[in-house]
Amino acid sequence: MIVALLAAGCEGGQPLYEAGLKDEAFGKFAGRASASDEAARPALSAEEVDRFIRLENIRPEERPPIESDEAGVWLIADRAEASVRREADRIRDAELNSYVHGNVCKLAGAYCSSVRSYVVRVPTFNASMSPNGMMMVHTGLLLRAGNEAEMNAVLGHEIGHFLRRHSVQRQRMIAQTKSTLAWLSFAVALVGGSLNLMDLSSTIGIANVMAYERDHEREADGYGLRMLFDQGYDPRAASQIWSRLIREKEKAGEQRRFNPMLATHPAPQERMAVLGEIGNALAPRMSAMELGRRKHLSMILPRRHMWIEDEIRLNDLKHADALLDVLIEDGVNLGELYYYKGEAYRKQGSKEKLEKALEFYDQAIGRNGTPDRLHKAKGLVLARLERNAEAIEALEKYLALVPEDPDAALLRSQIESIRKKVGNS
Amino acid sequence: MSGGWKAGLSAAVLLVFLAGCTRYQLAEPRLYNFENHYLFKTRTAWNTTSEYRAVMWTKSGEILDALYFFEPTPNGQSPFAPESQEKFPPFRTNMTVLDLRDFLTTSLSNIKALDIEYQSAKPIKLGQTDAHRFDFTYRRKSRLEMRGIALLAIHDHHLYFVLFMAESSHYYGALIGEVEEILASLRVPAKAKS
Repeated sequence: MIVALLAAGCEGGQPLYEAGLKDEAFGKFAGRASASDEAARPALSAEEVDRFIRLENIRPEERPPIESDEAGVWLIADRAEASVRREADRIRDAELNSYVHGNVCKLAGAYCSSVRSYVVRVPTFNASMSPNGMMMVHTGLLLRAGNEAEMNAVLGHEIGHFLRRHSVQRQRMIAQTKSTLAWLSFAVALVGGSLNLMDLSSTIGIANVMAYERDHEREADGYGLRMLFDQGYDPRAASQIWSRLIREKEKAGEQRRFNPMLATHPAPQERMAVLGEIGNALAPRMSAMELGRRKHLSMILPRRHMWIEDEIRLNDLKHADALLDVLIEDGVNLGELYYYKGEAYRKQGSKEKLEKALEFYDQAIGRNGTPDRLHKAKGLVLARLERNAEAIEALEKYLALVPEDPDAALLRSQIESIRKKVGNS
Repeated sequence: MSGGWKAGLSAAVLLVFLAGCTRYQLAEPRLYNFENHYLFKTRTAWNTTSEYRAVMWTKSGEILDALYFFEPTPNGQSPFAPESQEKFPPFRTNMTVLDLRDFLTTSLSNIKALDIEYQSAKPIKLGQTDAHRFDFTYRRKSRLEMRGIALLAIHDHHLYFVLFMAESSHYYGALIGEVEEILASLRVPAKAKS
């Protein structure tokens, strides 16, 4: 176990985050930097870069030769991509796809035609990259990114995985580890070693592969940071998206469960700290930088309600509450956000939660972005709490605001049944 | 130990294992009474099996068509999963018809139904019991288009819930006549068990 922990501990750390910044194969490290920017480059020697850049970058529009192990990995990814294209949760909103892919192209530069992005309606903070250039972007990421720079830090990270060919590196590492373990087990058996010793060697092998994967994540983070810098985005955004996610997890009461042996990614705290440190060093050297907040919000806000509803449908109140609190800190369209806090509580249905829902509906009223359907939800909650006169008032208010609602007939019958109940009591 | 005895034992063991593979049973056409929760009749045979809190009937396999009769669900629980699976919303006895529809939407979303749309919602009677009927469509992740009918009634502080879902281009149309007959015959007995 101790040996395994040591193996897991043999990880790259900060230099790996900086490898992308020094990768001349991706192009000159540009940025909108001042003439004296040379000093801003992280001090990483050529030898150190070589140590981390173990494979040559994939070239733009390159496809691996069919006889290679890499081609096999690509073929599997091609099949997965054909299925992703057909799936119902792929978002077919042309404007949104064009926005996301436009950013991917801007970041990827010469690799633009090699990367295809798909926005998928999945309520989790994530994006992924397949070895063949298929990038999946979850709506949960778009919802949480406060601006274009934060979103692009993640998109750039994914492009980093692609151009550094991390999938095939990982596959080769696993094959090599399995082969080493097989020989080790054989040697242990020959000298009459115990099964426990073999188990230990397997554990070391797994820890080693996971440590290798975490190094890939660090390296990809560095590429994300570098692409922000090259395109004139505030490089501190790479750290800020992690800070946002950490706040959300803390508010949800999620324990820090980082397993130093088996985690596939570095701890969010590490990513926030290291990216913040490098971002802070780079930012003063940029003559101009942007966050791209206005453009980002113009794309996200009209669609945000659907993605929040998806999060609420996960039926995890702590999670929804924490997410909405972090979005509220951001301060945009608070009426909509307080309405959805009410909705998250309404779905739970207990008396205590219904009363809490009413508090949030009341906080929403009069703020920006409050939807008319708040009055419908409020009326239904009041009806369940048997506050009948107020329920009728809220439902009638809603019907006056939205007389053509498809549920209008149901709401009128609801009002009638409340009236009957009041009359009978 | 004689050879015949061994062969007999092996056959018995094999039968026990094979019995474990027999998931479906035949439901003959007749009048059914599910533990005095639901009374209904069918004029053709179906395949049937039990799943968590429901009895499921199907003609062509549950991916293509399925008719579920859920056990009455008490306040604070979900008909779809135990409390430990928090992703399913709890049923509450004070739910309005629109709350019931929200409850249905959230529950279906958590069994990977996408783009759920309601075509109609209307009050019905299951015998003497007031109930609501929702007709809806949705898509599976594979983009298979599905259609469904949900009947929900709050009775004796429990949720009575019958759900029919089938692939829309062929299986729904092929079965809807018979399913409507079953639903029309459906009764929730006045003195239901709790």
